[in-house]
Amino acid sequence: MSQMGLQMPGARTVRRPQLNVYTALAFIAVIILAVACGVVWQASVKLSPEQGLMAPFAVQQEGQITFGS
Amino acid sequence: MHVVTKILVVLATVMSILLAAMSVAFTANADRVRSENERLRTMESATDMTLKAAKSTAEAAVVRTNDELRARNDEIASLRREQIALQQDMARHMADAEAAKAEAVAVQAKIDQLASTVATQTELIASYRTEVTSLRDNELRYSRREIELADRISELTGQLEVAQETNRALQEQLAEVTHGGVRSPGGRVADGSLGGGPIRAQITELRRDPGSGSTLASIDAGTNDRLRPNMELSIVRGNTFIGKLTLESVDLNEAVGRVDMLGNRNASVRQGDLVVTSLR
Repeated sequence: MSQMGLQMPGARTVRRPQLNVYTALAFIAVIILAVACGVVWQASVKLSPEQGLMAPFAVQQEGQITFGS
Repeated sequence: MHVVTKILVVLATVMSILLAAMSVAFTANADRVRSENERLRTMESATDMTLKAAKSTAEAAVVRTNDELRARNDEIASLRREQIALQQDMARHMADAEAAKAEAVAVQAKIDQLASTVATQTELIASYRTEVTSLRDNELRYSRREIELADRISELTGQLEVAQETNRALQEQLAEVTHGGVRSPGGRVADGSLGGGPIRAQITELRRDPGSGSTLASIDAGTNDRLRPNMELSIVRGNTFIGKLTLESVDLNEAVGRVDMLGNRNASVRQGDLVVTSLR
């Protein structure tokens, strides 16, 4: 019944969570993180020795610097 | 917490993790790339220095090579000048050789010409020798003939002289008788006492003695012909008695005497008259 939003007698009042400033801050953080991930992704892809999705996480070998892009 | 917030938190967390991982990879790669960059820069600088050293060495080698090349070029130029001089000398020597060859050909032609001339002259000499031989043979024959004729002439002359002497003697006696008195033979030497045949000579010169006015005659006979001073000779012309010649000076091959016409004014002595010894 609670799934249907019905409030039964004797039950506590459930207050639904609401969007607040923290949500906005989280949203902003996500946005900024997304942007940062995007920027770092692009930079890492440039320095990555491989290509593809896992390119940003690949590490160059010592003394054998190659670039996949 | 709202669902959206949760979702956002999860997303933020995931993105944070993702970002962290990518940051770590990026940092490691950047560090590696930076190290590699530094190593490459070091290598580049070392290579640059090596290149600079090599370049300076190469430049020095180039300068040295240029100097050597210049020296070689100078040597080549001098050798070319020498080559040109030698070619000129060779051309001159070849011209001299050609001239010498032409001269040799000319000399050979001259030699051939001279050889042909010599052959011709040899033939001429042979013909001349033949001719001279024949001429000598002829001359010998003619000489023999002349000797024979001379002998014959001598024989006939002797006979003639004998006859003439006889005639002269008679004429002399006649003249002596006709013009008065017999001349004294004193001081006159008779020629017959010397022996041998009659002596004949010719009058070569006539002149007059300025002292006595008499005629002096030179004859072409002397002591070699058995003549002596004071010999008396007869002057004849052909078969005619002209006068007497008394020798005064006698040399080896000539003599001078005084002419005596015996008073015969119609006759005169001439150059070329014959003088013979008197036959008594």
